This record gives sequence, structure tokens and C-alpha cells, in this order.
Amino acid sequence: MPWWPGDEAVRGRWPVVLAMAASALLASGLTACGNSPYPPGAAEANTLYTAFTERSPRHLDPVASYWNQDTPYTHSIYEPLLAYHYLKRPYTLIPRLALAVPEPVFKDAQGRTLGADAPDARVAESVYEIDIRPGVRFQPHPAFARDAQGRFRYHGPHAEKLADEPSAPLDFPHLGTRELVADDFVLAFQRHATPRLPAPISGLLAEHVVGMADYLATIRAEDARLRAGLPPDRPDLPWLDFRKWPLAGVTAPDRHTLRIRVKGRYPAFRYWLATTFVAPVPWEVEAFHAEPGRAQRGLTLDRWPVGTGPYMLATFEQDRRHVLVRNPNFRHETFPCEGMPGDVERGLLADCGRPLPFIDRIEFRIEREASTLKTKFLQGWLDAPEIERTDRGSDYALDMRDDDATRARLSERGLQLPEADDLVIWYLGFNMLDPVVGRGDTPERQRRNRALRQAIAIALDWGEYSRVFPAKGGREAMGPLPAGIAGSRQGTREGVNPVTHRWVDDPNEPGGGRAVRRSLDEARALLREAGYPDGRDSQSGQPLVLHYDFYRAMTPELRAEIAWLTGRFAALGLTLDLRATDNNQFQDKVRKGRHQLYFAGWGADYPDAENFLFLLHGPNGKSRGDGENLSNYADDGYDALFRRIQLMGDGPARQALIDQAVALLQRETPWAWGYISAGRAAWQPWVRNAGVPVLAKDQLRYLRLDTAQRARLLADWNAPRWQVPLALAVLIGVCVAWAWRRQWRRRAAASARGVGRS
Amino acid sequence: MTLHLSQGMLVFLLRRLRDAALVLVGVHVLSFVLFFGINTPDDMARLALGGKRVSAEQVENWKRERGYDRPLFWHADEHGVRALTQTIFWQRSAGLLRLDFGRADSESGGDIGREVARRMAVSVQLALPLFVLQGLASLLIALALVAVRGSALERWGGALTLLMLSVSSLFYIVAGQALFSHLLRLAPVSGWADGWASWRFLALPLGLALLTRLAGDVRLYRAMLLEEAGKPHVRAARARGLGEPAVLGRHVLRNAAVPVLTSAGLVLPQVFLGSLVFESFFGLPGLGAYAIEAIAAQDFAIVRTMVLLGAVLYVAAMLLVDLALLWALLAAGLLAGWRLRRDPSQRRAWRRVLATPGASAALVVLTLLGALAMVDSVHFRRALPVPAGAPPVYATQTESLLDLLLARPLSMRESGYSRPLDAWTLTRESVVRDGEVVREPQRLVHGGAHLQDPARDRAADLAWRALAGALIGLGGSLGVCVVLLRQRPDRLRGPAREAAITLTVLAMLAGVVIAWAEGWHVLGTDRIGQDVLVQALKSVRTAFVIGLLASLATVPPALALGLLAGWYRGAVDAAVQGLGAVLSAIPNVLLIAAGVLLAQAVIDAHPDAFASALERADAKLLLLCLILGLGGWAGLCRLVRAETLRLREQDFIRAARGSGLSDARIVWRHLAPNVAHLVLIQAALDLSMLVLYEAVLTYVGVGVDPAVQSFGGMINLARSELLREPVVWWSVAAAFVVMVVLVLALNVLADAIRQAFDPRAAVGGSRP
Repeated sequence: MPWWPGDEAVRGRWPVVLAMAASALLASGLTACGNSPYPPGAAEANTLYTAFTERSPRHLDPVASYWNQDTPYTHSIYEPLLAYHYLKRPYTLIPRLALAVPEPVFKDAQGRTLGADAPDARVAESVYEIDIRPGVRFQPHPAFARDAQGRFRYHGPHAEKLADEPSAPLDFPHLGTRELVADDFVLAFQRHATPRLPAPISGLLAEHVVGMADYLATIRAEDARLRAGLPPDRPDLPWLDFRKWPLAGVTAPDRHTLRIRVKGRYPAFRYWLATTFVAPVPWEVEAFHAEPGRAQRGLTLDRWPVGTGPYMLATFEQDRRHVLVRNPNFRHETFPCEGMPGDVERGLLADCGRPLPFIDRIEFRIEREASTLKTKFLQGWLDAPEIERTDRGSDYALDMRDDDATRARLSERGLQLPEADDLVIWYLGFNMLDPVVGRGDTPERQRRNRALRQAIAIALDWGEYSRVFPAKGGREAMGPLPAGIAGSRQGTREGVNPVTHRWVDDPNEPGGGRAVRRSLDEARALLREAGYPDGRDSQSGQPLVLHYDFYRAMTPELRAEIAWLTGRFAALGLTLDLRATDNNQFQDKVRKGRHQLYFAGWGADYPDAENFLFLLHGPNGKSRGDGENLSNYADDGYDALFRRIQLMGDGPARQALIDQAVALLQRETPWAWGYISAGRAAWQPWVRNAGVPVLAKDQLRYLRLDTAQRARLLADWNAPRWQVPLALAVLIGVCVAWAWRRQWRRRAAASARGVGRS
Repeated sequence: MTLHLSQGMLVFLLRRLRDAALVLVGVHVLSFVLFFGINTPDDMARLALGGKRVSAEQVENWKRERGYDRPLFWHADEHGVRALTQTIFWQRSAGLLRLDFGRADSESGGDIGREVARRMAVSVQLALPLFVLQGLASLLIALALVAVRGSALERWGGALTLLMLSVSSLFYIVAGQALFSHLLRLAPVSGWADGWASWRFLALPLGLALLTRLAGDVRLYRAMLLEEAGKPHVRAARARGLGEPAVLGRHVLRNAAVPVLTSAGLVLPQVFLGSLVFESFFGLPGLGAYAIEAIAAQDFAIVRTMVLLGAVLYVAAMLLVDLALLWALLAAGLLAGWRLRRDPSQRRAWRRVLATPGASAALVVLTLLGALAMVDSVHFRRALPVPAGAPPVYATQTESLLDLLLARPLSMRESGYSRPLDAWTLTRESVVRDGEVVREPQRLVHGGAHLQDPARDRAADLAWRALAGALIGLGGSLGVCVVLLRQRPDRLRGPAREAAITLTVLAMLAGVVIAWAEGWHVLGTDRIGQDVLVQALKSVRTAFVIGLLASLATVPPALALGLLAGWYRGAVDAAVQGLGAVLSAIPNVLLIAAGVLLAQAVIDAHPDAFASALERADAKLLLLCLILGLGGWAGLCRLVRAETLRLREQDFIRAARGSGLSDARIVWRHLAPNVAHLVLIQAALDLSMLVLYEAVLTYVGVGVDPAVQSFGGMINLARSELLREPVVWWSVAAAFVVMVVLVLALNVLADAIRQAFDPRAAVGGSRP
């Protein structure tokens, strides 16, 4: 037994030796301890650290990428033709890869040019002639690399066969670049016809771009031909070279001119030009990815985007870590010198005229638990919790409100919590196909059901909801349109919903006042009108039970919210029965029209009323047409109004139509309304030029870091405290060891005596 | 001779390998059926594609690309073999045989095989040190305790391990993160780095995981060592004058090595997959986290792989242990000779249970909590006023008797958080004071509302109420004791005295709480102003229901199958063993998750079968218990089978058989009563484990319906509450205290039962 020495002298000493060794080891370990999740020197590097919470971006291919969590990557790597001004509000389009914001030229069916005020019926096409910025180069990428003879190294007939091909494009031994040309945009439009990826706006493009519908059919047929005889689940597919099949509506008359033909009038089209859906894609990259074996190894545009933007993707570890690094080929672009009043005071224009981007590297790491995300941000190890989210700051703002010590600490630290109106509406909707809360089949039924919906809309006090759940709520929605977009009257006196609110004048301030929610008594009166006095059917006496079809399985976190909602219904004497299922089953119920009450949200694609009003457009009904109108609201008058709004350019006439449409919705109450999220981001004090990424998602290029300040503050905030616990541990250890030794001695002596006696 | 032995060895090995393969096939089929019972390929496509603007064509594309456009088991349009092969099942199974795990179902998922290999590296870095350290540390501590056996130190050590065993692992994690990362800033709160830098991220989870499991293993090893220390050869060694260190080291430890190693080997796969909660909490990109994420995302391709992987690990560990056991066969034969005869008298055993220190106190606590659960289980709906002669109409709200008892605190609904015994809200509201907007806490509507100036009168009011309540409680308890004493004056000794003291303390405590609850929120209020005390009390029922029903659900299948297997042996035995092996091979959490999701899908598909959300929640709770029970019968079944195998060779059974009794009669009348003690011991141990398990399952998202109040729900909420400022600690503290009291009482009682009925059995707890 080498570990149990029999020698008396050593036996007496071994615990001491062991304890000393252990404490020495512990001490050396503790001095190296600290709560930094990064290697040394991380704070001084010009790197922005942030997190992502669920999973890696679903899609980075410009055709498919439609999720908010994709945007930090897509908007830093790809660049569309247009963009939103970083500082100016309301949102203003600025040229990015285009030389100017294009104005369409209207043509009639014979191709004759029309004036801007031509009647809608005569306009057959709007033609956009866009000048592309010259001298823009793509990021370094192996697809552009050529050998000494000028042939492509890694694709085509002369492709080199690497024994061990890198899994990341930037790790290839040879990289190259090329100038951006108009054909890259043509390919970008053509690619939306692909059947190989989900293309969420292909339907929209087919509806509006000349020749796109036919093009979709052509490409489908060609793809089927290419894939004939191949197993359907093969990731490596023959190259679908869109250049072989021209698209009538999108052409490149010369190297730097792009021509897009849009059917009829469609003013919102320019907003789509500011999305990454139409970011340029070089054909070389497509050819590179189509080489056999590359897709199998994950070398696709969906994972490794290629663009002209300020950053390029260097590392992509699925669900773990992504790293963006500065694109060395990025053109000269400078920080804007114009902003809103007050931006100078807030230091937002201090970098005016300086070249972009400022930051060298951006590191995203997974942080799945909300609690660890918060801890790391408060410790300073994250420069922002999630840069693309608009709501991450409310949590901290709330803590500061409720706790003086926290307020003192966080404001002393200089935590930045900028606010901005978000363009997201969350609403509780009614399924209009439902016999109880829906439209109703007879006029009598329609009147009763409407009264019931209106009563519920009054009782659901979203202002109270926002007070109880301040981290989630926002402003009470008066209609479907959030403030800050063209056509919205949210937040003004004219915008008050007369069904749910009353305007109360402020006696002290002429013209001032506020909207006050109508009382529960008024709601009860409506309920009586609907035939449910005190929540019981006036004929059968049975209590009315409404079903709330919730879109996710219940978790303990949601319990409180559901309890609040149930309480609001109970105030009217109504019972709300929760049917929480996972999203699949919820979607299934909605597709079949079997839902009754539901909760949903919509974030703006672009800042225009049309993008919200279409949520209630009849042909867009979910259960009938698989659209986004989950309420299945259908009203001929509203649909006619919507179609006119869609075609019309901004102006008072359009505003009048929008007001009319909103008033109609307020009366019919297909939604019990809800709240418009209040945007509030969270940034550490050393991040400059930071705001709330509401619609302008390309903010990474504008951010600047004060790394010296960061290094100083992080060292200050996170000095390890190991002395007291160590002392405590040693003390307890010594006590236990001493007690044990005493007992052991006593026992050994007793058994020795026992043996002696026997 | 050598040739013969190695041949036997080979046959044994081959047979084991065949069994292992069968088990894996069984696991595969089961997981396939379970998963596609929940999800249609359409569901999976929509979930993977998700979000806005998904067209039917995209769904079809997705299914085609992943091979989900075929039928599940039988392709009616194809002929001959192709009808079987052109199915999802065949294609997927064939891929697995080639060890090609395929592509994840999610859009950005990528190749599963590569991901598994990468994640395996992470999991091993956590699991292997944990396995080694855990084994060493628990053996060392167990040895230290055995070395001083009989002393106060050992008793305290034993009590400490029992206490540690009664705390949910989630508490260790939450508290450990707050202490070591937030407060002491010694370790990163979560994250990962490749290479040597990983130790910084591993230290904290490793330490906490060690702490979580230490107690169970220490108790297990201590029991094994103690059994060994009581053996004649050890006594003989001591009698020869050998020193205590030599006795412990050379005789006890060396001989206990076989059972210790065996149990450690069986724990290996559990260590591996049991770290999944730790991986998830600490952001370690390992296999466990992968499995949890896949469950949440319903990525069947990944779940299937993980299930199989877990099963492979389990089967491999079983093989290893089997081989080790072969070598230990000789030793085992010797051990059997010294087996003690079981004590036939049940009465004496039960008396011994009560005589164990703490057992009667635990029984009193459990009786009271059980009564609480019973009162909360009586549900009713109130009748609504109707005009005379009309048929009766009932309210839609379901209430329980406990709700009536708690009517006062239930009605004391506030608007938001408030501290225990406070008169103001925790959050602040804007009010205009002297023309200026200030943010300040508001007076609560109910808590402390009876006082004019709570700042001044609160202390006096609380003290007065506490005194009155305590006195009433004391009086009541004394009254009960006096009545009992008058009948049997000699009773107030030993267990009875302990019970009386416990009752008195509890009665005084209850008196104080009731007196306070009249006007205050004793444990504060939650986010929407509900009383936390009410929630904690109502959670007791859930814990009891889960523990009792789930452990009851294990009994019939375990008893029946175990008896059958042991009695008939041969093919029946092989079938039962095979079924058990398949079930045990699937990682427990995954099996339960699949079962619960399936049950939910069925319930959700028939919304009209249940009148209210509460009934639906109750149905889900019942199903959860059933699944927990059905998933857990294999362990008990093995014990029953082994005992039956032993008993059937005993004289009284031989005699029964000789006298011509039917098989059924022998099994029912003679065998079943003789294995009953095993059932009792196992059920008592399971009970406490299941209560703790509920919290973990709720974290994974497959626990009880959140409409039902449960400890798991309270703890999971606490994760965010502990991080907000000001900290909301009362909710988690209430859950912690009530839960520890309940589980500790269960553990103490289970321990006493085990000691009394089966002093040899060294049944340790494995824990989630």
C-alpha cells in the first residue's frame, strides 16, 4: 500500500503534506482565475464582442435570408443598391451601390413615356435605370483567384485539386477580387427563381417584375432537367447557371447600368432595393460553390456569403462562434456629417468624414441562457447583448428604475441605453371565420360578434400590460400602424381609436391632452349588446368560454402573462381557456382556420403603411390563401381601399385613404390591438456612435470602440475576489481534518486496546 | 483448460454482442415510432423553414431534399422489396448502419456526424474528469467516514450527505454561478474555448457537478464499505492484531473494489449524458446540449442520432461491466455464503424504521404535507345562480378545498412584486408630488394595509401576531399530546417523543404563518402580485402526485415482469430482459421528452375532450407520471427477477411446488410477498428522486404544464428573478425550503426503511 505508509513518523505528517500541496495548487490556480471568457489581451484588441442566443443564422444567402438574427452578417457583408440614412429620421433612403436614389420612368402598354402624374390605369410599366457605383471591388475570395495564365484556379476546367481543401474560403492559399458590375445585380434578381433554397420574396417579385413569373417556371423546368436521375437528397447538384436564361425585366445595358422593369405602379419597390435580397452576387462564386464536393462540405453561399461590404466572414462554427473581419478591399466611405437635432450634443457626429469601418473584428458567441447573457453583459465581457435586437436595453432600464443602487452603479459605469420607436406591432387577433368572435353569418350575428370583439378590445388594457411586463410591452396600439412610418397617425390626437379610447383634453395646455381607455362599464354594456350579460349567454345561461390558441408550449416564464390576460377577460366575466401548443400545431390550426383568439407580431420590412395594412388584406388570408392575414379578415370595401393605397405615391390623397382604411379596421376590430414595442438597445460605455437598430441594420460599419477605456474598466469591474473564500475553505478543511484525525486516533487506540484484551 | 476457458469467453462475448445489437435495433425502432408519433414531416419542414412567407412548394422541396417525402413504413405504390425500401424508416436505418448520420433537419444544420465528433470532444472533457474525480472523491470521503464509524463525525457526515442529496441540482447550478462568477468573479459564467484554455470554462461546472453527485455516491460506497467491514474475514484480520489502516486498506477496500467498480462502471453512461443540464447551463457545446437543443427544435435527425449514441454508450458500459464481473465471479460465489437471512417479522422491521433517529419526525412532516396535498386534490366547481326550474349551470373555474382554506391569501392579489412581510411594492411608479414627477414604491393593496403607518407599526404588529399564533399552535399541539398521553402514559418515549416535538414545532410555525397571512404576504408576491406562500403550498401537491403516481406506476410492470422472468426463465426471461435493456439504454431524459411530447400531441389534437385548461393540465400531469413510471420500471424489475431466481430454489417454494400448487398461486401467494420489501425500498428511494427530477424536466421543457403550480416552474422562473435588480429571492427561497423539507423527509424515511428491511442492500441514488 504505497499510498498508506505504515511508518509512524510519515503517517503523522502525511495530511499536513497533502494539505500543503493542495493549497499550493489551489493558490496557483486561483491567481490565474478570473471571470473573463476570453484569452488575455482581448480587451485591448479592436474587436467588438457580442452574442447570439438561439442558433447560427439560418440563411446567409441573399435569396433566402429573411431573419432578424441574420442581419448583422448579411448587412455587413452584402450591400444593396440603396440603404437607410444612419441618423436621419424619418427613415430616408440613400444610395449605397447605386449612384443615386432612382426615380422610375412610367411607360404605357405601347412603350411610350408618361408623365409622373399619369393615371394608374394607363401606366403599364415603371422602369428604373440605376447607375452602379464604379470602382467597387468584392472581398478577397478564392472564386476570383486566377493562375498565371489568367484561368480560374478553383473552378472551371482548370480547377486545381487541393489534397486537403480548407473548410473556410479565406483559408484558401490564393484569393482574388473583381470589380462590381451591373450583371452581378441581374444575377441577384435571377437567383430568386431558384427552387433549391427557400426564396421568400420570389412570389412578390413574380407579381411585380416583368417576366419574373415566366422565369420562375423556366428555371424550375431547367432545374428538374439538371437533377433528373440524381437522388433528391444529394447536397451537391449540377450548377444552375442563370446566365444562360435571360430575365426580361432585369437587364444590364452596360457595365455600370442596371435596368429594372416593374409592372404598373408600385412605389414600394424602391424599399425592396434597400434589402439584401437584391445584393449583387458574382457568377464566379456560384461556379466555385458548384464544384463537386464543396456543398457537401458546407462551402455554399448560404454559409459563406461574399459581398462588397465592410466586413467578410472569417469563421463560422455552427451554433458556437462566428467572426467577421474587415474587408481589405472595401471602398472609401465616410461617416455621415448630417443627423438629427441633438445628435451633435450626443456625440453622434464626432466622427464626421472619417473613413469606415472603425472596428477590425467582430466576434459573435453563442449565449443560450438569458441569465448568463445578462451576467456577461453586466460584467462587461459583451459590448452589446445582441446587436441586432431592438429590445435588449429595456431589462436594464427597468432594473435602474426599481433599484437605487443599481441606478447609481449602472449610470456611474456609463451604460448606454438609447431609445427609438420600433416598427414592430404585437397584437391579439380574432379569427374572423369563427362563429362566436368572427364575422358572423347573419346581420344580427355580425352586429353581436362585433360588439363582443369591441368589448374585449376595451378590456385588454395594453397600457397596464406594459406596466406589469415593462421589459416586453410598449405603447398601446391604436390601429395596425406603428408610429414613424409613412401614413401612420399613431400617437397623435387624430390617431386615437374611438372604439377603445376617449380623448381627454388637458385643461392646463390648450390643444394638449391624452387618450384614455374606455371604462370596463362601457365594455360590459357592449357585452350585454352582444348577448352575453355578465359573460353568460342570455339564452342558455351558460358562461361564455373563449379559447386562446397560443403559438408555443407554455413555459413557467409565460405563466404570469397568461394569468394577466385571463384576469382581463375575467373582469368582464368571460373565461379564457388557454390552448398552448407548439408552433407547428398552432400553424396547423391557423391553416385550417380552427383557431379563435391568437397572438402574433409583425415587424416592418420597410417603413410604409402598406407593409402593415396588407396583414388584413382579404386575398392574403392565412386559412384560405396561406398568406400573412392570420385573422382571415375579408371585407370588400377594405380590400378596394388597400389596392388603391398600394398603387399610390405618398401624399395627402393617400393619407386620406389610409385614414379611411384604419377607421374601418378600428370599427370592425379584427384585432383586439396590442402594443407597439418600444425600442431600447444596450451598449457598453466604450462603444461610440451606437443606436437602436430599428430599420438600418448596417450599423456595424458605423460603430467605434474606445479600447483603452474598455481595458481599464474591465480590469476595474472584474478583479477576482479569492482571498476570503480561500481562507474560509482552508479554515473549514483544517477543522474537519483535525476533527477527523482525533476521531481516527481514538478509534485506532480503542481497537488496539480491544485486540490487547482479547 | 486455457483453450476451454477462452472458448467459453468467446461464446459469452458473442452472445453479449448479439444482445447488444438487438437492444440497439429496439432502441432505433422505438425512437423512430416515438418521434414520428409526434411530428409529421410537414410539421418538421414548417418548423425548420419557419417564419414569414413559407409556401407549400418550399415545404415539398424541403421534404424531398431530406428524403421525408416517402411514406413511413410501407410504400403502397411500389412493388416487391421496394415497397419496404422506399420508406423513411428503411432509408434512415440503412444510413445509420453505414454510420452515416446524415444531415440535420434544420436549414443550417449541416452534417451530424462531424458535429457529433466535435461535440464529443467537449463532452469527454467534462465527463471523464468528472467520472474519475467523482469516483476518487466519493471513495475517499466514504473511506474517511467508515474509518471513524460510530463517531459523531460520521453521523454528521451522513446527515450532511442526506441533506445534499435533497437539494435539486438546479439550485447548485444557480447558486454556484451567482457565487463564483458574479460575486467572487473567479470563473466565467459560461462559454467555451478550444484547447487548453477550456479548463477555465470547465472548472466551475465540473466542481458543481461533482458536488451534485458526490452525496449519492458517498452514501453508496459507504454502505458497500460498511458491509465489507462487518465480514468475518475482516474481523478475523483485526483479531490477528492488524492495525486499523491495514485492515481498512488491505481487507475492506480491496474486497469492496469489485462492487464499487461495478457500480462506477454502470454510472459511466449516466455521467456522460447526465451532464446535459450542466452543458446547457454553462454554454458548453457538448453532446448533451446538442440533444436538448434538438428536442427544442424538433430536429429528428439529431434526436435519433443522440438516442442511438446514448444507447451505444450504455450497451458498451454494460459489456465492460459484464467482463469485469466474469473475473469477479469467484469472489461473488464466496460472498453469497455470508448472506444474512432476511428478518421475517414485518412488525419488528417497521418498529426499527421508527426507532431510527429522525424517522418519526420525517413521518410527521410527510403526513402533514401529504394531508396538504390531499386537501388540494379535492376539486369542485361552483354552481351559478339560475332562474328557478332551470337546469343547473356551473362555473368554468375549478377550485380545490385548499383554495377555500387559502381564500384570504388568494384574494390578496397585488399588482406586482413585493418583499416578504412588506407593505410596499418592489417596483416603482411615477407619481406627481408637489408638481414634480417622482418614482417611488406604492403601498400594497392588501399586504400591511390594515396599518396606518407601516414603517412605524410593522414590527409591533408582526411580533404580536407571531406571539398569538405561536401560542395557539403550542396550545393545540399540547392538547393533542395530552389526549394521547392520557390513554397510554408510557408512550411518550423514543419515536413518540420525537414525533410530539416535531408536531409542536410545526404547529407553532403554522400558527405564526397563519396569523401573519391574515394581513401580510408571508413569503412576498410574484411578478403579477400572487402570494408566493400559496404557490409553494400548492406545489406540494404536484410534487406528491408526481412522486407517488410515478413510483406507483413502476410497480405493476416491474413486479409482474420481474416475477415472470425469474419464475419461468428461458425465453420469457430473455424477452423481459431485452425489453428492459432497450428502455434503460435510451437516455432517460430523451425517453421522457419523447413520451411527453407524444402525449401532448395527442391531447392537443383533441382539445374538446377536456372542459378546461386545468383538466387538460391534470391529464398531462397524469400522463407524465405514467411515462416516468413506465420508463423507470427496468431497475426494479431486475431486482425482483434476481430475488425470484434466488427464492425459487428455496425450500418453501420447492415444497409448494411439490404439493402441486399452480404456478399462478405460487407466484402470487409465495413469491410476491417475499419480494415486497424490494418494491418498498425502491419506491421510497424513487419518490424523492422523482420530486427532484420534475425540476430538471421542467427546465428541459417537458415537465408539468405551467398551469399547474410546481417547484420546477418556480425554480426555472428564479433564474431570471435572481439576476434582476433588486433581486427577487423570496420565490426561489420558498421553493428551496419547502422542497428540501419534503425531499429530506422522504430521504430520511427511505433511508430508515432500507436499513430496517434490508441492511445489506446498498442501493445508491443516481440523480438527474
